[in-house]
Amino acid sequence: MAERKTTPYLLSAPALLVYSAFLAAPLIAVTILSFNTFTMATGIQPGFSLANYAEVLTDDYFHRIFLRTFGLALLVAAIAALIGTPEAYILHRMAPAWRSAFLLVILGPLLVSVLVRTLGWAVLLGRNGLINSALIGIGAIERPIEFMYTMTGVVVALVHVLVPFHVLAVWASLRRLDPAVEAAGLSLGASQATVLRRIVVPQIMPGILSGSLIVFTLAASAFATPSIIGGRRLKVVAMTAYDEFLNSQNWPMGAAIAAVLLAATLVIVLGYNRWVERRYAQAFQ
Amino acid sequence: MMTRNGPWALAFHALFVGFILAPLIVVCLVSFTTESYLSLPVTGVSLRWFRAIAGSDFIPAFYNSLYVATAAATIALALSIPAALATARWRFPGRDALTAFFLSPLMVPHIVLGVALLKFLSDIGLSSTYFGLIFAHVIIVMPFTLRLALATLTGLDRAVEWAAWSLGASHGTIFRRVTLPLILPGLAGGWLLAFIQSFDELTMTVFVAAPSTMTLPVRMFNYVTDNIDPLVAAVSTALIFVTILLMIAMDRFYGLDRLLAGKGAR
Amino acid sequence: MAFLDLRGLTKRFGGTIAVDGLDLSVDRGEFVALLGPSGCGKTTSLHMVAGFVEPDAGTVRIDGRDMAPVPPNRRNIGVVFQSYALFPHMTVAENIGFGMEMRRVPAAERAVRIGEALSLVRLDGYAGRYPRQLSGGQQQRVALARALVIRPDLLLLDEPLSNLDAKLREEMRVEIRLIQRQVNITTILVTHDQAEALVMSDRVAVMDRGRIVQIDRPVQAYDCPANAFVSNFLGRANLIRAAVVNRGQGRLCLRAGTSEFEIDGSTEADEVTVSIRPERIGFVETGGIAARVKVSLFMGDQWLYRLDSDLGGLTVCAPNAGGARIADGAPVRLAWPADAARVLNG
Repeated sequence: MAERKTTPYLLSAPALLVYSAFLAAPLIAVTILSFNTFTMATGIQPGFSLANYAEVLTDDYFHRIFLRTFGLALLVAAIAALIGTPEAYILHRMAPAWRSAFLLVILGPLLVSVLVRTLGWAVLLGRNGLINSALIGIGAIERPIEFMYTMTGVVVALVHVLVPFHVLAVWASLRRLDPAVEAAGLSLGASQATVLRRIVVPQIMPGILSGSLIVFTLAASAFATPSIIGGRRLKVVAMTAYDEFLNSQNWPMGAAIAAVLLAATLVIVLGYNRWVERRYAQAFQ
Repeated sequence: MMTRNGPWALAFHALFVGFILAPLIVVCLVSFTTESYLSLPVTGVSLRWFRAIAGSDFIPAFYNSLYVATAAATIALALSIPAALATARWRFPGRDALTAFFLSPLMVPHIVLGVALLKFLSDIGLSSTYFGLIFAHVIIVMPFTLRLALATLTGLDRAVEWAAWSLGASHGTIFRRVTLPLILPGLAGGWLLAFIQSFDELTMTVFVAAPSTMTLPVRMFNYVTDNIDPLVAAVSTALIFVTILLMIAMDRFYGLDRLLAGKGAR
Repeated sequence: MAFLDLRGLTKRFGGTIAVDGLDLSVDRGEFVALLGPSGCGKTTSLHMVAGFVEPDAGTVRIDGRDMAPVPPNRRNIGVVFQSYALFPHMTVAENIGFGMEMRRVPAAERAVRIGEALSLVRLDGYAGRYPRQLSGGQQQRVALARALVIRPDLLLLDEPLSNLDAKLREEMRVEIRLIQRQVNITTILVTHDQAEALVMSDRVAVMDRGRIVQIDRPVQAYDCPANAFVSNFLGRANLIRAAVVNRGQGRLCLRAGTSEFEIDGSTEADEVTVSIRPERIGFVETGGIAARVKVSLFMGDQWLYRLDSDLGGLTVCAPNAGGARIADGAPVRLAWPADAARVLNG
């Protein structure tokens, strides 16, 4: 509609105001905080110091935590891609009625609190949990296996929490797939497996890649699931920041950890997007 | 020309669905226990733990979550409608940057938002207030309401608005009588999604909520770090059932897969 | 002065020029078609008349009044859109009544006029339906009724029939034309369908790259195309490049290859392009121009022959009169009346 040039700015002004106050300002404030210093005796000292960053980037303790976090995220993203991609394709090939029902079943848990889903795994994985009872019941093991407070437990629970995102991303790219191209491939003499490998997978690759990125970044900043299943012994970055803030009261250190996490996440997201765009720019405009 | 899934595919599918549903079903099962500890298999069925919720401090936490989520989703929607109109309808300098800024909370880990808001709200004296908590949630849920509003607006045939215009309607009348009724299902879907997101949010809220404004997820988190018992399982079961009801409502409004498409994308 | 008058209308989108100095005058009660391929600027022109798009330059005058300061909702123009643009959340009656509601027409009068509009488009009894419960043709007629019921000064039709199937489209052409005559409203039709433009309008304006290249009565535009673009776009045409051998008294003698032929016309040039409609070329026993049938296509009511000749590839239509078709590869001789060929400008 033909109108004045200021109209769009006026329309977005309220949202912009709220964002400036509750997103931009806090992020700036916490960045400044991360350059302050802290001791038990004096509390938070204003000033500009890189000491917190130096410690995060050089201390072995923090190295282990960051390595554990990003290793965990990588593993979770890989497993989610490995099981989520075929599942999305199976859904894609179902009759419409079954498909919408199962989509509801698989995507629905995204709306159930992460806490509730993690709790379910705590019940399943515990010493007297369902999995151990079942394994002992069929005689596979004699004594219960410890899943709680292990990396295995955290990975299983995180895959469960995040795999619907991967299914969703692949499903979205499968929906854009012209069903006739598979038929065309078959009519040209390709086997079902060849059609899958040469025709379907290349076209849904952007979906697989973006799904993996989503799962990776969410796993890297996950808090509830690692805290409950992994516990203190398997600290991840988010828990470390939490402890610095709410237990040690060392806010500047917590802020520096958060800043490093944010920077790492942004670098990975933007770098990955750039790479994917370069690779698929021609085929997928 | 639907090709059928083979037996291996269906077996995989069954395992996958089992994997997805197992923890949810288990939580529901154990919450009906008669024992005072978690046990499987359940020996007897009772509602004692559901009755126990009534007297617990999960109830005030539930109401806190209800207030915060309702307010945050509503404010986010109210901010999203004009912002979506601006970016969907006008080409102006800074448009792309503005859209990216409005969607940027999706890229910021919630733990980072949590520490940032904890620091900021205590600086400006809004820590442990509902006001601060609600606006923190507005930031988290607004990308969802904005995306849904944008998607429905761009899906709208401009000619319909032009038709109203040529028939003599003013801009205000066009919006009220034509645009708004047509984008309402998308807006309602966006509001529900935002409500659920806010209601379930834990990681950021852990930092921002005070004992007096503590939401249900924070209360549950603090509880399970001490012990996991049938009481918290019963609370979880109640939450699962409420979510199922909301989910069915959302599927009616907008289609769940289309709605969630905005949830994951970053 | 003309009722609708467009002068130097110009619109750019980014770097591309959509409408380039468009001039058009339309008399009261006249039906003018803007005809052209997609992207020729016809829809943008219509949107500028309606006021949805602001022209970069030029004026739109209706009944002598400059429309520049008048927003679309004050122009009193009825528009029928390609997508119909019915309000999906309103019933047929609410759709049709919307414009009158905006004009504060009392409810009682509104109801009467809705009824009249519905019978005008032969949809009596459909008042309570929702658009999605109607067929494409019915939706189209509701859109027409909604545009007409406000008694607009001008009716704009933007590709109104392109979403209908072929048979319905032909019926609606006639129906819209009859309704337009009945209410005697000045109408602009935008279309890319030449048959639609020829059948429905009093005058056809053929557009190419943002300009009107020819505006004429349909018969005139078809028989005397101004240039190669018009002759190709309006129906089928054989374009023949030929050298002028002799000229005089409104006749030209032309040569192409080894064949010579005479046509009506005059030119200063030594070489010309002439256009001959396929249905004006006939088969003769002797004389004429030698050709050979490459392929013959059966179209039901006629045969379409593609031929090779000295003049290049030619297309000939012959009515299906029940006779046997000419075999592929057969040698034939072709002739046409001297007034069948047109010398094209440029």
